[in-house]
Amino acid sequence: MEEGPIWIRELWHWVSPQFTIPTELLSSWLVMVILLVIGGLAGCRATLRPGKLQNVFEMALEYVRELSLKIAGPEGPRFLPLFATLFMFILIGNWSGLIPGFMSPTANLNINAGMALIVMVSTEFLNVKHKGPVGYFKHLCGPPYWLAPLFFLIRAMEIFTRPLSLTMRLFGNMVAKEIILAVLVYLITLFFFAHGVVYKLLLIVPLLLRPGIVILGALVGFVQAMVFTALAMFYIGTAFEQHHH
Amino acid sequence: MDVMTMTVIAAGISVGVGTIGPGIGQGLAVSGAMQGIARQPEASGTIVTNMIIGLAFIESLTIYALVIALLLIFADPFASGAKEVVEAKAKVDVVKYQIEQLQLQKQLQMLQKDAGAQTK
Repeated sequence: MEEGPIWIRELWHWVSPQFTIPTELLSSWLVMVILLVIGGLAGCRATLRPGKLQNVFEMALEYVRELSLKIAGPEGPRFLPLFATLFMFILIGNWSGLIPGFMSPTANLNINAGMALIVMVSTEFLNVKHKGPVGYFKHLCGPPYWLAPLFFLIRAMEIFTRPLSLTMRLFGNMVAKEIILAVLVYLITLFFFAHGVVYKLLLIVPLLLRPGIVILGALVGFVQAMVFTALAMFYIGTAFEQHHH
Repeated sequence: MDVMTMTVIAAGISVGVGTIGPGIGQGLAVSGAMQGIARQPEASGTIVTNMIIGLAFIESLTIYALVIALLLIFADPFASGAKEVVEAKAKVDVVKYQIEQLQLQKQLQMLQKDAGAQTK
């Protein structure tokens, strides 16, 4: 799977031809720069009667805050910076893959694994800090204490499979969208180079279908960002739940 | 049937079989959500949000199968060795044919000598 022309890579190549940086890293830096610039513009002069840009960002943050109250319980809004960063980065990252000339940084395994590792480390740390080591061990053995070995095995495996599933979900969705778009582009190229009415009639469906797939890609990008954030909230919320009382 | 054929067949079966279970599961989830909305239309916002999260959970199982299929097609650890094996076998065949050619030439020379000796 090779990449096409991506302008960030060309820009970096023009700046320093010898020292190459992988394109995924460059695109993730671009997403970070976009978020910093627009976020800074929106929030630097925050007023009680917000303008348009500040209003949009407040809507997004309030959405994440409501979601965290619902899923992680009353301790949710304490971690709003982490959840909002995950949500905005994944959202803008997914959507930037739909623009020709850009590459979505979430379409490769490394960046997704980085975010999943952040979630995993913070979950374990908060679990141990809130419950204490003894309480954490009791939580690992589970409420039905007579099943302790089995429960311990399952819970210990869950610590590693949760970040793996987070990574795979985001990666699979983004790569599947890109592959479908690539196959449709190939069929459309055939359409323009085909001779004969029958071929053209057979190949007109990809041409009409491509805008639909782009819209589907935008919807899936939003849903996957929401699901990643919701799962992160759920995992961090389990550190604060009380069922041993 | 060499390794590359089997790899492609495995990739196809993996995605095909891997969509059966999650498909049924997602149908059940949406049916439950529809019943909930039918009973209480005011709660449709909450129900739809939770349904979307549940659907994404179930869909991730299909995506595991898709990732295995992509791995087999694009980054297969087994088929890359198979290409070199096929090339090596082809080279061995070429050498064998050259040996046969030399033997046949020798036989031809000996037959010509015999034919030449007979006519003298």
